[in-house]
Amino acid sequence: MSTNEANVPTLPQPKNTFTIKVGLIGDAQVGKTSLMVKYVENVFDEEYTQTLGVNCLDKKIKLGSADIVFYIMDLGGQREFINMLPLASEGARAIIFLFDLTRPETLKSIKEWHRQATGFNEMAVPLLVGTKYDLFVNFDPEYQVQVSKQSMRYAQAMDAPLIFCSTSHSINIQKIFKVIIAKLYNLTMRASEIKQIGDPLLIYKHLGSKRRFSENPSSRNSSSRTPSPHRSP
Amino acid sequence: MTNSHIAGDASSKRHREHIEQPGSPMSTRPTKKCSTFSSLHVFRTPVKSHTEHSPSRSAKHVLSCWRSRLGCSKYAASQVDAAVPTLKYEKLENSFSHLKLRSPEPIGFTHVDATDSNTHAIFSMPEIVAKILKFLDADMALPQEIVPLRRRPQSLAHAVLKCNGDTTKGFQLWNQTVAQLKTETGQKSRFEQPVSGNLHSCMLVNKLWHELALQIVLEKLHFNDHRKFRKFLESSSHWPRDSSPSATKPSILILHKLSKLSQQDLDDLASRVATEKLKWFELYICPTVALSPDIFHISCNVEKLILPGNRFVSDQFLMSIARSLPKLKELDLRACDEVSDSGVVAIATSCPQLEICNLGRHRNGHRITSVSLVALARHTQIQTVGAAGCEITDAGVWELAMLRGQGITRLSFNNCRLLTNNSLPALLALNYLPHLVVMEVRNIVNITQVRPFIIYKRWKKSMGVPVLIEGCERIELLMIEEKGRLDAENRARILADLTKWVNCEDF
Amino acid sequence: MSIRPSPNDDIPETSFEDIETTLSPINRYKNGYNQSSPLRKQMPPPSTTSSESTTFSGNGNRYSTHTESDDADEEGKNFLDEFEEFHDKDEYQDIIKAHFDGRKRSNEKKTGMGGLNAFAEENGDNIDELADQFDQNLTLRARKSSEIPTLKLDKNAKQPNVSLKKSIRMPKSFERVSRRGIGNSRSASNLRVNWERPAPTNLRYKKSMPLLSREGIINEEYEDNNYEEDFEDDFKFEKNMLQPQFLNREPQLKPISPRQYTITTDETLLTPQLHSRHKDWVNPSNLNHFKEQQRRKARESGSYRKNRESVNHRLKTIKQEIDQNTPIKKGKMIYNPEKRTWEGNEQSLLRFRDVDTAEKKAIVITDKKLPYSSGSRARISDAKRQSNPKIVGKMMFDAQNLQWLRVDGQEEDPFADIPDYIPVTIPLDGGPQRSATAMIPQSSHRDPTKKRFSSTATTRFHSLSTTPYDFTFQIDSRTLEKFYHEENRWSKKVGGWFILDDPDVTSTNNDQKLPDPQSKNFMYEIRNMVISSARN
Repeated sequence: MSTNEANVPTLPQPKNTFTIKVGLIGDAQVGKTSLMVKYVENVFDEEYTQTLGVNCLDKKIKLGSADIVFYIMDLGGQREFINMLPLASEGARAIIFLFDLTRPETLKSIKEWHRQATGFNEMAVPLLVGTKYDLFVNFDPEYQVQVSKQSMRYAQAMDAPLIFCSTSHSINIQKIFKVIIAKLYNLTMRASEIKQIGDPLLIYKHLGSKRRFSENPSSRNSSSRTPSPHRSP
Repeated sequence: MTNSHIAGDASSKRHREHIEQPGSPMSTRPTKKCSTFSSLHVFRTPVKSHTEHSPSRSAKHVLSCWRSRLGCSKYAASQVDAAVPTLKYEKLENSFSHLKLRSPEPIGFTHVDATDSNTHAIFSMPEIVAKILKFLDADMALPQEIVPLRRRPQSLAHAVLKCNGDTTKGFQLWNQTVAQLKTETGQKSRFEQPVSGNLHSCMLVNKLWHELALQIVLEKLHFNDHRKFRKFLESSSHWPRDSSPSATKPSILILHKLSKLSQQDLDDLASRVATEKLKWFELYICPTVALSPDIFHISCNVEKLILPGNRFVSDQFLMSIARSLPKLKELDLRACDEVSDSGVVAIATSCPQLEICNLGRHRNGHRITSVSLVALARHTQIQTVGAAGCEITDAGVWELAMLRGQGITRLSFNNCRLLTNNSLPALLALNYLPHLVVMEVRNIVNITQVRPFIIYKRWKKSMGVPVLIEGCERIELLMIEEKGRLDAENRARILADLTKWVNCEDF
Repeated sequence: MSIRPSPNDDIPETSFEDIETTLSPINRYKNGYNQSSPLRKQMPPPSTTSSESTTFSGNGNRYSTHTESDDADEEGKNFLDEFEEFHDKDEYQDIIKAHFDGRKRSNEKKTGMGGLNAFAEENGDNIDELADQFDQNLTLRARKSSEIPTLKLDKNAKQPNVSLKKSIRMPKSFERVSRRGIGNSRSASNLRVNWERPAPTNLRYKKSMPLLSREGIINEEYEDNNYEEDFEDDFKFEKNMLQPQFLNREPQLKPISPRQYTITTDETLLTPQLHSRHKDWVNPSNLNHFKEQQRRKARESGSYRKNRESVNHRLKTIKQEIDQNTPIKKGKMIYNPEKRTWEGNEQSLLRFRDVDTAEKKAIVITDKKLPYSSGSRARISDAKRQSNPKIVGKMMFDAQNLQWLRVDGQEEDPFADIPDYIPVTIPLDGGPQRSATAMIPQSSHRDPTKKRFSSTATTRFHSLSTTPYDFTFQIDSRTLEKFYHEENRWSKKVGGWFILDDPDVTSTNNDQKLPDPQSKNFMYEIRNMVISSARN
């Protein structure tokens, strides 16, 4: 059927809005809130502010034909908030597991975080993100090798893209969210991976694609239009 | 007026109290059928209360106060005005909560004289009773055509399409439709039987109630049963015409599907009913009677004129009554296939407030052309146009859209064989009909381009306004295909945008 | 040379049955009898009826249409009865008697347990014990003396109740006679097949057995179900027998000698995506190299304060709604307030099982690069003379011939006294000879049996067989393999169908019907046939 293209533009085309809930999970002081704030507002604050519960921010990215709204929820890393874990993980399209590159024990507890978060949400795309890369480079090479390898093995076990980032130096922050979208909608992302130990690793191509589910962008139109239930908790 | 308001509030409160007290013996009484009848029970309660022998003392006291203050015989508005404020509102509430208007044990109807001292005084106050009865009247349903949510499917395949391809659902829908059509030919099951009789029961209570209820009943005359209509005519012949003038001045007069209605009956009715106050006149599918234009000449208040399926409605008739309908808002001339453009033009030029006009027909489609559309567009506040089966053209529709585009909400152009892609699809694409919510475009062979329909529908949906586009099987199929295509395009575009974003270096 | 004690190895007997009976039954049997007992030359040809008895496997039990006796005495009678029949119809009683006596005697002679014969003659019940002992002794000795499967002397063999009847379908355990016994040797293949089934003890002719065995075709099988305990012993024994014979010692994992191999742990195997560092390590000063370009940041750098405020404004914090000490259940997860953790989904930890045990590392084993090994690649055929022989344990690698040899040269050939079967397969143009090979008919090279026979020997081990095979039966391995698989399939398909019968009996009851015509049991069999063929 031939479409009278000249006529069509006068009718306003509704824009699709994809609300993508992202959960940030990890030990205390690994930098969940600052990552979120950095991404949303491009602000980095050295001061540590403990998250007392779950922090939420949303960021809208306007594209030509659709809007993406990242609805980011960051769960306080203290144990006392873990009963709010469902809030951050349920319904999330992606869960970012954060650990502090300078504290290996935070990587080890990813295992527990992963178990608990995936218990609530198996569909979410997992990401393994090592923070404070800017401090990490000060460590001795052997340590860097060990942490890189171990985190890589965690990433493989979780089938999660692995990203080392630095909030203060704006390293790989945007990439995290682009990887989320790429994995969520099975898009080809051309950004080259960073694989060399010691560099801020960005390994995503072969990870995190297993649990992708067939996604029909326009079919989500209506559902994404309805306000997210998490907005008014 | 305020006094009656307060009284009304009070009674309605009581009314609500009754309904809302789940623990009360009233509501637990097994005779209670269902909640929709609760009002009936409530209003039967006074009837039974006549036999009540032990009203609470406090209530008696309060009411005696009332009586003494208001005077027993006449309750002039000014008096009530003066009296009510003196009563503490709280006290009034209390007293009403103590009003036990029902007998302790259920007993049947017993006609007790209204002068019975045990009757609660409140039910002998005409204003209050009138208010109560008006509430009852509000519950009264008028016989009306039930407008289906969606049009019936035209075929099984169409039914399946309507159910988004769900075969079983479609099959069900089709079977339903077939069954409906079958029963409908013989019966009027499609029409809701109005819950009637409450007011009529009230007329049996006592003289006061009878009088008040009758007034209200005569306010809205509606019949969907020929026998009842006859009875009414018989009884009304006894009424002295002058004694209760309001009784014969209905605001609503509906004769719903009285197939046996004879010209004589209608003439009788016309002679007995004053039409000055008439606002709504409906002669729904009573094809064999001719209306006298005189009915409308007296009145100039008619807002709603429903005359579908009447073959005596002609251009002459319309022209003769047009001048008497300055307030006309709704005109339904479906299947009045004697009417042609000239009749419609006459109406359009004389009824500037006309909003709804339905000229749909199966025969004599050629009599209605774009002339009617243009006339309606130019002279009225038309919002809804039904021109199914008429020979309207693209030009007429364009004219309508140009002049009334902002106001048009519903269009029915089924079987308008002259319409093409140049009217509705183009108009929608250009957004000349931005408020359209219902569009019927069945069996318009020349409409092949449905993409604007889809885009329009989507756009409205994104604003939270659902749009109903009724197409025939062919058009619905086209729409589904087009929708798929559009979806795919959107998807591709969105994915392309997402990919672009994912791969751009800066955000 | 075949390393197998019998060339029939691995051939399920029944698989040949049809072919043989149709191809050259007469010759075959003639040969067989001639081999085992020259007196039997006039043996009537076996019936072309494939079987005179059928095994029904109805409801767990196995029925044979053959009448079987339950104990030895019965057996004996039965046996005699059968002999009667023989006697009536043929005059072979003596032949058979002689045959078995001879065999028995030879057994006794060989095993040096002559006294047993007396026991056997007594035909008493306590003979079983002795027989067991005997079996065990024999087994042990035999296994010691040579590493090949030892044929076990069956106690029943000592008894005279030997029948020439019945098929091989019933074997549960096997009679073992010495290899040099008169044609009663069991092939390894016989051991293999159906050994778990209760079997008649009578001596049988196995109709389907390939005749190429120069040792004849008589199978001895248990017939008595009462010997279950004995079967246990047999069972154990057979199990060993079923192993590939040259692997009689339990294979054990020896530590890899670091002398021979370079063993390195290689973690990169586990994280293949990670690349090792080959540049300078990143130091804080060149972190900016990785900085994401952010146009917006440049634009808004001045409005830092504003941004901060907006963050504080926009950031919503959801505070704890419920006490953290409240247990919650959500889906499959249960909140444990004491541990402050959500319990459940434990299986997801399995993913990290390998990750966490950091000690577990991938190991790469490579050949040790020896500096002079490649240079001295001389034409030393002898591995021992090789300048740098690779020695693992007591084995040494002969790089030239690509084989492993014993370092100490004590190359035991456990198969030394197993005669090669090559002579067997030599086609003879000449007249009849007394040797086993002589009995092979001229048509033998066309006989599929032989092809099969050779195929089994070669298919499985042809890569190990060092001596060139007999030229006549040089069939390329692919064909052999094809044969082999085809036969296996065939045998699988028809293996359960029929019980083969003694040709003698068959000959007498050529048109023998099912023993119990009234019984509808055969329906079961047909049903099973259909089922199994459908499955195949």
